[in-house]
This record gives sequence, structure tokens and C-alpha cells, in this order.
Amino acid sequence: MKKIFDKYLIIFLCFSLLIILNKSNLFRNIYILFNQNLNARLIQVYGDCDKKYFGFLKYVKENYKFDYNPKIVDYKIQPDVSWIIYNTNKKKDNNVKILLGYPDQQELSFYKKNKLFISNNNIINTKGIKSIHLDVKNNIDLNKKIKIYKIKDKKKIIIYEKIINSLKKNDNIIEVNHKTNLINSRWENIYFEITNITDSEIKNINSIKLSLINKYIFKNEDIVYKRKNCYLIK
Amino acid sequence: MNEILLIIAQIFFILFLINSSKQLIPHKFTIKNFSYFDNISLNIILFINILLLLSLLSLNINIIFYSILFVLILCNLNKIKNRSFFSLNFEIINISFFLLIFIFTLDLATKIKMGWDAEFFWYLKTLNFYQNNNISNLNNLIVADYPHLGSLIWSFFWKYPFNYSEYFGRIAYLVIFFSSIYSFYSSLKTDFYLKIILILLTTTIIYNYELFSGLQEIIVFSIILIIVKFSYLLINSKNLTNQKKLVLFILLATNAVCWIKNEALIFAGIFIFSLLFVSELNIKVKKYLIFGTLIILLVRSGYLLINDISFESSEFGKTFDSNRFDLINFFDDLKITLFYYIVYFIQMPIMIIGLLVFLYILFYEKKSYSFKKFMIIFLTINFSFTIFAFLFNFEDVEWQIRTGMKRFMFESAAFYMLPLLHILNSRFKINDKRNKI
Repeated sequence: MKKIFDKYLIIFLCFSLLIILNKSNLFRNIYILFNQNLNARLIQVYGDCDKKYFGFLKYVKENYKFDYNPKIVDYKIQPDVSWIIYNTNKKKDNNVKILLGYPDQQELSFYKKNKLFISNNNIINTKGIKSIHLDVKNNIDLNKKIKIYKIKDKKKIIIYEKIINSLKKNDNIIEVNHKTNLINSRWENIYFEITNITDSEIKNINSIKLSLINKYIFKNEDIVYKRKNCYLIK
Repeated sequence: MNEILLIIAQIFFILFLINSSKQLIPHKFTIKNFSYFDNISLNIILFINILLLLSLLSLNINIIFYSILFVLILCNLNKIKNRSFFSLNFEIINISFFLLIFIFTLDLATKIKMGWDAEFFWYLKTLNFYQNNNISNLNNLIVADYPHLGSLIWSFFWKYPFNYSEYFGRIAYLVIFFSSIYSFYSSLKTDFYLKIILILLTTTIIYNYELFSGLQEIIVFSIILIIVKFSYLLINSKNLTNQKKLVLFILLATNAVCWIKNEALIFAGIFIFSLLFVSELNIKVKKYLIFGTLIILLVRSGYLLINDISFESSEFGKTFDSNRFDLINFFDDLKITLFYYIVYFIQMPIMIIGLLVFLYILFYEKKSYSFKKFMIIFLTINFSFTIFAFLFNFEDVEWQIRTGMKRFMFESAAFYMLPLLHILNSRFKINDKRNKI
């Protein structure tokens, strides 16, 4: 009886070992460690001029001297990437020195849900709404109020309101130039609502897009070092 | 190849340094029938407390390292002369312990990536110590109210001995984790193979790279597992001297855990409070537990008060803000909280197994009244605390739950393993020659 019990235990032990080997990816890990050095692995995980911008920031740290911890502006919504080059012995710089993932144009697009339009993505580092792009199938006479808002702590925060009259077929660009920080949102969706819109009217709208104003604008001569859309500026 | 050799050396160094810390306490404080891995767990608790004490004296990491090294050499002078200091124990169980740490370290080495909270909060604290700043400089960084001990351990083993990469510091988290698992099963009176199987299965159920991505929950889990093991020994110990020693060890572990995450003190506090209902415990022992916990609480709050640190940045800082209480939303939030609690509970097999085993004990074991009462009190308070902590958080409750509740629950999941230890010890009693962990 004891021998049978032992036999089953050993079979079960082998089975558990196989699970552990699978769970730990042992052979794959050994292969990676033999074929990639630490720096290559770090760049693969944290990116060069993408993901966490590890390669770019490391290069900047090694080749440029900073008296303060440079202020980093990252256009991606993720934890602050300054940890890659942060020095806890130095103070923080108040002026922006490094811009990461700098976009040519900042846009916020929306998808349709019932009678509401909800933002597809979240956006940061803008200082307002430049224009609203409304693409419609046919000419419509709306004469209705549009509301752009977000909901935070169950409270509606109005970002922008305007009455729009008629929309022509295809793309309508409504110049807004409304300066606001409220459009920046790391977590909350932005809602675009047209009050009292009918079902037929909403079916007529193909897409809605906001063109935004970038918070950080610099001249070409201010660029100290550039790699793709990552910039070190004066 | 060089990196793999460095990893092996790093694991040996961590084990060596942690195991040496027992030389710093008088011999009379040790327990004779402690298993090998119980001793390792105790050494970890001692080592972490020594690190904490030295950091609270505002020493930087260089001074901490060299002072520990100096004292260790001084205490072990005789052993070094006799060459018994570096003796290794090549039992299968020890080799398996080392191999598991090594295998999962390779996973750390290849995945490398830190978690969101680790990058945002914990790494900067780690960097503070790594760059030779002391505890007072933490006030210049974000989340000063988050404790620093986990980051201190991280930076300590990152910098010493090889100063190779930050993930070398996180190997210490793996060592602590596996020590707690081995210690948990070490005193089972079962077949050797069964112990190994249980260790492997527990590792399979719990291990997830994310837990070792610099987040602190895994150390809280591991230390709480050590508390659970010591508490089990305490409940089953009939010797008053041993009970007193075990209380001291539990309190040291509680002290360590509350300097790793703030809420861990509450979890440990709930557990210690529930222990007071165990009738087998001597009244003197219960008094020590209360007195010790109060001292730990006073020291931690004293530190926050002296350094003028408020809980403003903490996720739960605004919990229980009665001015913001809104009855209309209350039931909605309660529904959301309970829903996510159940969802996350189901996602953690260790909690499900623990609860099922406890229900089995509750309905099918005729004795163990004291244990049942203790567990019911603990589970009720622990559940209520988790629900209320999120429910009365006036910020967006659902968002808070989705970002934090699972990790929050995981921290206390180790407590759910206590019924498992109870049932295994009462059911399996296969004593043979191999039963020697």
C-alpha cells in the first residue's frame, strides 16, 4: 500500500515539476539570457523612443549634463518615466527640457453610443480645443446645443458648450479656439452630446473629432537633440 | 553566462546575509524545535527589523551595509576561525529551495519590467537609498506617507554586493517569498514528497511575475504567511516560554510588515485581535500581544507625526470622510464593492481553497471550537475592513476598486492558508525517515 502511495506521489511530483517549469518559462529565459545582454533586454522591455523611452533617456543622461532633474513631458498616459534618469540628490527643474512622444497634431476622436459620443482615447498636455470636425452624410439643420463634458466623482464637468445651426454634407470644421485644461484627462472619458438630437439626425453623423491645441510648442532652433518624436530642448 | 553566475552568487549572498542575522540575537531567544525553514523565516524578520532600525537612525545605505557586515564578522569571529561559518547543507529540500529561487530569478531577469505603482512610487524610494540618501530625503519625493522598508530591502540588495541591476534587489523578494512558503509547510507531519508537491502547487497557484515587479504586496503576503505559521505554532504550543518567544517573533513580523505597507498594520492588527479569542493562549501571552501591538502602532504613528507626514497621497487617505457621505450613492457603491469582492475572490485560488477548507473544519470537525471561533472573528473583521475601506472612499469607488482591491485582498490572502495548515496537520500523519524539513 505504502509503495503504491509513494509511486503516485512521485508521479504527482513529476507532474508538479512540469507545471513549475512551464510557469517559470525556464528554457525560454535561459535562451534569452544567453543571447541578449542586460541593456538590450532593457531597451526591448522599456523601448528606445517608444514605450518608456528608455534608450532615448539613457542616451540623454549619458551625453548631457543636468544641474537639476530635467522636467519631462510624456504624451503617453503611463506612470512618470523620469525614474529612468532621476537623481534624488538633485532638485527638480521647472522648465520643460524633455518632450517624449511629441505629436504633430493632437486629436480626440469619438465613437457613437446611443445618442452620445464617447472619446476613443484619453489625451493630456493640451491647452484647449482648436476646432470641432463633424462629418455628416447629408446637410442637416440642427440649431442645437453641443456639450463637451467629462464625469469625475459622479459629477458632470462641462468643458465646452455652443449652439450649432446647420451642417453641410461631408466634413464640417467649426473653429473654436477655446482655451481650457479640462479637456486633459488621464482616466475619464470625454463625452460629446448634442441636446435633443433625434434618431434620424444622429444616424446622419458619421464621425466627430476634436482638434486640440498643444500645450508645449517650441522652435526648431530650441532642439538640442532629437530622435524620432523624442526631443531634448534648451 | 556571466549574468547567470552573478545571479547564483547574488542568491547565495542574500541567503548568507539573512541567515547570519541570527548571530545578533542571544541564543536563549531561539526555539529548539523550530524547523530549518522556520529559522530562515525568523532570520528574515530579524534582518528586516535590523535594516529598519538602522534606517530610522537616518543612516545611509553604505553605512548600513558596512555596519551590518562589521557586526556580523565580530559576532562570528570564532566560527570564521573554525571555518564552520561557510558550511553548506546539501539536503534535497535545501537544494530544491535554492533551485526554485534560481528558476524564478531567471524570470525576473528576462521580464525585468516594473509594475505601474513600482515605477510611480516605490522605485523612487528605492533610488533614494541607492543614491545614498537617508530616510529624511524621502520627504522630498512623492507619497511620503508610503512606508519605505520594502524599497530599502530592494535598494540594499541592488547595490550590494554587485551593483549590477535593480532586479538584483528584487531577488530578495523571491527569497522572502519562498522562505515563507517552505516555512509554512515545514512542520507538517507528512511525507517528504507530499511537502515538495504542496510547495510546488502553492508556488504555481500564487506566482505571477507582476507580484515581483517591484510592488510591495508580495512582501506583505510573505511576512503575513510567516505570521500565520508562527501563530499556528503559538496556538499549538503548550510551553509558556515558547509561547512568549513566538509572541515576540509575531510582533517583530508585525513591526516589519507595517513599515512595508500602511494597511498591513491593520491586517496584522485584526489577526492579532482575533488571536485574543483563542482559549488555549495564556492570559500573559495575550497581554504581551496587546502591549506589543500598541507599541508598534505608537512607533509608526510617532514617526508620521514627528516628520509631519499626513495620509493625503494615500489611496485610502480620504476614507471615512463623513462630510462627503452621500446616502443615495451608498447602496450603489455597496453593490459595486461586493460584486468586485466576489470577482477578485474567485480569481484568487488560495482564498477559495482556504475558505473551503475552513468551511469543512466548521461543519465536519467536532473539536477545534477555539480555532473555529478565532477564524470566524478574523474572517468577519477582515472582510468588513476590506469592504468599508473601499466603500467609504469618497473618490470614484469603482475606479479605486478596479485599481487597488485585488492587490489589497492579496495582501491578506496568506491568512486564509491557516485552515489549510490546521487540516493538513490533523489529517496527514505519515512519519517516515524522509520527513525532515
